[in-house]
Amino acid sequence: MRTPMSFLAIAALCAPLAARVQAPVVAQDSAAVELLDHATLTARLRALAAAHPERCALAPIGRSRADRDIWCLRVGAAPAERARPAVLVVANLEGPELFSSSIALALAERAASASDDAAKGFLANTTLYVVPRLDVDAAEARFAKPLVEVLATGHGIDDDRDGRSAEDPPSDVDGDGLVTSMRKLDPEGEWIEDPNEPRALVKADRNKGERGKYKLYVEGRDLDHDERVAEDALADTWLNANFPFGWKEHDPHAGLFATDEPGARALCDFVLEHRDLALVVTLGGYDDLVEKPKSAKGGDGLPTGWIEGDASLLAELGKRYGDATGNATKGTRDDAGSFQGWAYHYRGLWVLAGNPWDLPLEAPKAESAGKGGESSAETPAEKATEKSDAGSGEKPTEKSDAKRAEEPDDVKSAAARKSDTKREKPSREPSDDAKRLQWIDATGESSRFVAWRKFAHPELGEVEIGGFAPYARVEPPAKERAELVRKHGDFVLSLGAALPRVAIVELTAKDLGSNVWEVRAALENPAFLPLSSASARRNDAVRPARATLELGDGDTLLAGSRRELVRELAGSGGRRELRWLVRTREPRALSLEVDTDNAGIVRRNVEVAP
Amino acid sequence: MIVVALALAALAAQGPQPSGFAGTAAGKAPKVEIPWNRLYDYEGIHGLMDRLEAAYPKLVSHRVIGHSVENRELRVYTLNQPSTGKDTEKPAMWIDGNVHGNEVQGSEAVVYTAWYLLENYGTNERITELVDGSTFYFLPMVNPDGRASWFRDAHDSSSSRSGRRPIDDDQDGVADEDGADDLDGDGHIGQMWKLVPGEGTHRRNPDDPRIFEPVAPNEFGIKGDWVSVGEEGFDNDGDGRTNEDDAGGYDMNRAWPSMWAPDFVQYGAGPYPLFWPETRAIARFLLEHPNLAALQSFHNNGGMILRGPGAKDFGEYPSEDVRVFDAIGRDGEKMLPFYKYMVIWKDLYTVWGGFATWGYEGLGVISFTNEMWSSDRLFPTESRGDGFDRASFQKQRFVFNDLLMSGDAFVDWHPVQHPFYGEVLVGGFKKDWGRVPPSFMIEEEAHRNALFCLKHAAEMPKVVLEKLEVAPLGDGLFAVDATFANEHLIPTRTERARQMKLGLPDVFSIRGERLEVVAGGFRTDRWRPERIELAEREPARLTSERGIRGDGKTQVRWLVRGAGTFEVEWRGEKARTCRGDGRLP
Repeated sequence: MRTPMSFLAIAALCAPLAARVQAPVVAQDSAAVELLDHATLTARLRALAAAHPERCALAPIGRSRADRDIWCLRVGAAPAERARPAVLVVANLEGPELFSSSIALALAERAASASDDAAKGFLANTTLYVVPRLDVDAAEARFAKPLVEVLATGHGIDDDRDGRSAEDPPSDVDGDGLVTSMRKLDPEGEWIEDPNEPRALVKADRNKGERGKYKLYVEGRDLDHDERVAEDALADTWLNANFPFGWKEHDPHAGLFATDEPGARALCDFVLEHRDLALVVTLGGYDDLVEKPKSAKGGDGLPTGWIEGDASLLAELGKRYGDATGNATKGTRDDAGSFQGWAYHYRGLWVLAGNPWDLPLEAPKAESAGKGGESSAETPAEKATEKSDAGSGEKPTEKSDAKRAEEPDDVKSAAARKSDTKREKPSREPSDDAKRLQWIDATGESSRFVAWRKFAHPELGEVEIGGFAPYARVEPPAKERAELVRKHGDFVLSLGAALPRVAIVELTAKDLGSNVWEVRAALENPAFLPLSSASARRNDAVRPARATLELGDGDTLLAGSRRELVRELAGSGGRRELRWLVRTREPRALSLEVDTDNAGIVRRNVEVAP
Repeated sequence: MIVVALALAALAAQGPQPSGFAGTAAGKAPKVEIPWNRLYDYEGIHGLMDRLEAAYPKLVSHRVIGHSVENRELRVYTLNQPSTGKDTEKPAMWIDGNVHGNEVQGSEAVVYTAWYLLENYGTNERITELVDGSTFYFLPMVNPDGRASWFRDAHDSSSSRSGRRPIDDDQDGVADEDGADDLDGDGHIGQMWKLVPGEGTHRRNPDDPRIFEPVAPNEFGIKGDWVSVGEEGFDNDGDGRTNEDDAGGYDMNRAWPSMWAPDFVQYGAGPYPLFWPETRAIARFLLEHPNLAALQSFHNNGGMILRGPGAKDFGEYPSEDVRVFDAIGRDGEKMLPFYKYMVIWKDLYTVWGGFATWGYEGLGVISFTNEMWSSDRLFPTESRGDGFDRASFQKQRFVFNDLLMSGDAFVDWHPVQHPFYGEVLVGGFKKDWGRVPPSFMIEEEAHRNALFCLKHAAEMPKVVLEKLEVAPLGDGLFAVDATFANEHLIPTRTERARQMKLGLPDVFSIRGERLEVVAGGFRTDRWRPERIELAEREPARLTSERGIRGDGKTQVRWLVRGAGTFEVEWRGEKARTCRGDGRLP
């Protein structure tokens, strides 16, 4: 799991040149993908359901702590046809992942309107459930002032254990509209500038004779005067660390107990109530498609990895994800306490977790690099700065611009900085944050980093405030969004064809004389995925297929069981043969029905004529 | 007549006659007469508690903290003396029973504990002190649905363990459709034996035909005439299996958050922790009561005083806390004949997500689970042998049944027409035998377990200001030395609570209108007053994760200036706040 420090470092280590460098106006092309607040998201979902009532149903799966609806849109057949397999898409499982909500909503809109062949093909025999935003409370921080990246949303604790809760939260100390980071020269500090990139900080390595220079804080005050800064925020639990799998008891972010958070419990209950689910796609920081999760043999102990057979199938789906989306973004967290871990390990659902975007560690190739500083029109820091400038007279634009201009270092061009650092060979490899800054410089996405600026902190004295802007790491540039949305949609809609389907490929009755018939059936699963995962069978989470031979009045079964339970049926043509001996004196059609939880219901007859 | 009147007047002058009964045999009658030689169903248990509430309205109140699957009330009865403070301001003990629906006598033990405390309050000095200084939260039935069914429906001693949410045990798409069937309609689920002459595995014991015994392979090739065809019932759903999908199908003592594991690791956990509404309601209540300082849960059977951890992966509990567990557990062994004080995973079996483990690990509270009733008590002297001889134990039960139960415990084998097997013999021990004491031993069982609870409760932390001294250091400076002592065995914060930051730290504070606190801290050396863990900030308000150890003390020294009176205070979550006044000369 991410440590609080790494989160702080991400949120903190970098911020806006943007306000100084007037961003060129980029035409809002029709495909621009916006980030939506809860009200807008709700309105869009309602409109969608209203526009396509024949195909859509919108209902909350639960309500958040702050009493917001957590929406789920069902697209597809009526509930009566429950046995068709369903795909559940869950996005924005944690606050900052708002872009994933936009992908999910676009997918829902595409499916609801059934506007292309991929959508039509998917809906022909598959149901789609979309929960576009699970962490509805934390995501709202994206639209608040000042702008702060909020990951924790649930149950709060008294972090500093002083008997007072939430009395010292992060805040916008310098009034630039952003909560970033603060660094302070301190002989006890353990951070130094990255020799490759002085805007980035790295931990000093005493083994290499490096002595720490800075203490690093999240931006905030010391309101409770305990000599600790912004150490006691209101909320502490991360929603996607509050699920039962690998739940980290006593971790401040894990919550009081697994499923204590209303959103976590609601999602679990939704899964339990929908036996038609075969597969889950999640969009957010956890990935199992680009980097393969650990695998393990089955067994009856606590799981230590994906069961080997399932892992092989997941690897193939991961490859298809790469082919469909071109995305190679790795995850930023492990599965401890995650929904993904619970859904696979304890419910046996196929869980395909993609991380749509993370601030790249490599600058783009020369041809696409920062065409004339084509900075995104909607990068978070800039937007917030505009808002705060317009919003109140407390901090006029001129003043903040003047203050920023005091630091000539930060307005140097990327090229100039590059030549500076070339002079001597740095003593260590560039840190990830240094690489991210290279990408920022090369793409002109300058508002993603706030240059360090001196500030007289009321409790700490002289500090520098700056670092990565909130959301800088998780929100793709505007120009990349439409493609990410489309390709992820393509991938999800391609999954319908991979879901298990039961077919009766043979049904024969052989006359054995004496009014006795040997009935043989062959069931087959032509799709890629097996009838159930090994994990589902281990958990008894998916019921076996139920093959019922219906006899007529007066018929007797001489061998076999009226209802055969079929637990396993491999994918890609896995077969299972069934036999019965039936005595019937009347000519009739014997009927075989195969009923499944999530691989369809099929029926076939065979005529017997004594 | 005059004499009587005078006597009455004298009584009136002394105040009302205490109603309490004495533990000795010729004591007074209790205010609330309860026959303790029987068990009570769901309504009966609440009826007893309601009578106590009605008889002692000042001391007892109840609230409904939630509802069971079948919408029965989960009532927590609070026993608190309001004149000595609010319930939440005192250390509290939680006592529950019957989480497994068939493990019924735990509820009687809970009621008995409340009854004993109330009946002795005001007359017995120790009980009065205990009640005045503590709070008790009683939940007599964790699983009221399981209990209701166990009393109402045909069962054996082990069925109705689960709650009543339908579970499709056999995964055929229908839930709870193939439970046991009371073929003979006697209210008990017995065993079934089928006569298969010369082709069986068992024979009837020639001395006591009630006993079916296996026929060992022998040189004569003689086989038994009988085979077991399972517990009473038939294949209701026609799937070729009998009694494989009965009501419910889970275990509410595997549902708690600490070290929870899913169903495939361990039967009954449910899809996520606290899935069953009963468990979630209880967890909420306990989490909302940081004053909880002791926890007890009653099960049956086997005679055990169990403590966590439930699984080996946890490792050992810290030795400071083991010392407390051991002291209470060992006393329990003296109070409860044939009970053994045991560690769950080590001495019994692994339990993931058990209640007592969560009580300690999740709440930081010393927690026990008692498995009530040991059949060793049937013939206490005979059964002390080292080896456990199954055959002689079988016989012993029948002897007891004949000599002391007038045959009531056993339904003798009788023929029943089975829809599938034809004629079978049905019979066996009744549901209210084996895991529960015979009626005449219930009171003793309840009493010993109740007093074990009170022993535990009496060890909840109690903080006193043992010493408060002011010493002038010259130049207008004074040293204020305060010694706070915990007179009981349980620390104000368990070591586990300290390690895992459960609950909030204790606060030692000093304040006075004209007092300036220059420095303050905890003394680390009783002989050398200058050895102080100096507070970094807020010297007037010192916090301690460690709290005050059981039977231990914490010495605080403040360096102050000023004049006049001042107050020192200890405040923690699990004991009453303790204050003392001082004055600078």
